[in-house]
Amino acid sequence: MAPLNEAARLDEEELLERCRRGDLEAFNTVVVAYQEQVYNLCLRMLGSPPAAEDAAQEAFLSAYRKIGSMRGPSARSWLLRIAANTCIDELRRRKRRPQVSLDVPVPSEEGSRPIDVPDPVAGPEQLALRHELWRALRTELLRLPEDQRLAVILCDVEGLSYEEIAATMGGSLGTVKSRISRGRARLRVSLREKPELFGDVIRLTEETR
Amino acid sequence: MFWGQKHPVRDEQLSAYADGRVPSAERPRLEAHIESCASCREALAELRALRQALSSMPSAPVPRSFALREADVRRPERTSAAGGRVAAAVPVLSGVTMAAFLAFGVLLSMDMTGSTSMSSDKDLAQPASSLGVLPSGTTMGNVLPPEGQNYQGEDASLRLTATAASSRDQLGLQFATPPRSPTEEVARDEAKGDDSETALRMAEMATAAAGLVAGGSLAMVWWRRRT
Repeated sequence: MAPLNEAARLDEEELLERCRRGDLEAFNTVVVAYQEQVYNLCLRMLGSPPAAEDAAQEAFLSAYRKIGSMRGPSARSWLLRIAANTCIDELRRRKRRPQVSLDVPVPSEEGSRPIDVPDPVAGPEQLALRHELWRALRTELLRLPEDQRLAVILCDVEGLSYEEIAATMGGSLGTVKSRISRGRARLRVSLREKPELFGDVIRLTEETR
Repeated sequence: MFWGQKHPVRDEQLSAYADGRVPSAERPRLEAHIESCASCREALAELRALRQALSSMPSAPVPRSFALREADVRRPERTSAAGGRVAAAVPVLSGVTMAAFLAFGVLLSMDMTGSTSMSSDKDLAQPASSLGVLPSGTTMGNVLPPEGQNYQGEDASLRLTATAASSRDQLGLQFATPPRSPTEEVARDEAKGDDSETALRMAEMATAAAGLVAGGSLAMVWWRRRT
């Protein structure tokens, strides 16, 4: 999530220019660069791998069609915005179809590749607990109301700024702050029921600040 | 946990504080309160731990590449956006019609260059647009379908690389067009041959030339139906 350095940013700008001119190959280079982030956003929002796959595909198609109107700052936030809206649309569609089960299956961790865990304690037991915590977070995220779920994912998982989140979801900065805060509060409440998972993280986070 | 009415700090303020988003004017008062309030300190610790856990959450690998194919994006009213690349599917040609195209192409290149040397064969096989695969298993719009990129069927003497036709009347002429750029040259279209192959090709030409137009039309119809 580190900001691109200048050279990379210029390369991307040139790539985007080719995209705007309809260059499918250039667009697919962008797709490959961000597909994991887009897919995972969809997975965290929708809960099931097949739904996430459909949403991601739709998002990239939509992005290609809209590429002419793509504006900065970066392809990443633009793509995440399209993916987010695709997911929100799908969630609304689901609501309108009462026969669809609301028990969303929680994605398994099989095949998940943990990214760099900045944790001083990396023993196997700690790691196992940490994976359990992540599984609990995935489940609890899916229980949040959609706008809070999206706000928390965009802020805490994807690292977008409040401004970027407001641009993605619509609404004011105040609305963004509120959604993030309420989503986090719910997550904290449910995690308090698992002190064995959360307690360690709290302690470690405080110690290493 | 929830605070009584008298508690001066709201959840939302702590949440913003954890994000570094409290306006500087408000910060001193807030920090003074946090210092003196155990429940706020605990809430802040939870917020930070939560953020840390969420930001390090593992990612699932993508189940497949999401690169778009030409067929995904083509629309009837769409025209070529840039001079170079062309938004047309690459036809999968049967051996016979390919031989017909080849024959026509050889005929043309012979006409133009007046020779049946290897170099004209090379011109023949070069595509007008580049073909290839992007890294990480993605496919470009113009790439041939996975079933086969070497059409070694009936026409065993030559390895053919199908080309993207920008318009019907350019089909034959494209075979004689030199590549636009070095990047468009693809390793697999080295149409190597020797004298016996040249003779073979001439024989094919003779038999296939008559059927070229019919074959070409059939291929075009078949191509349209398929896409």
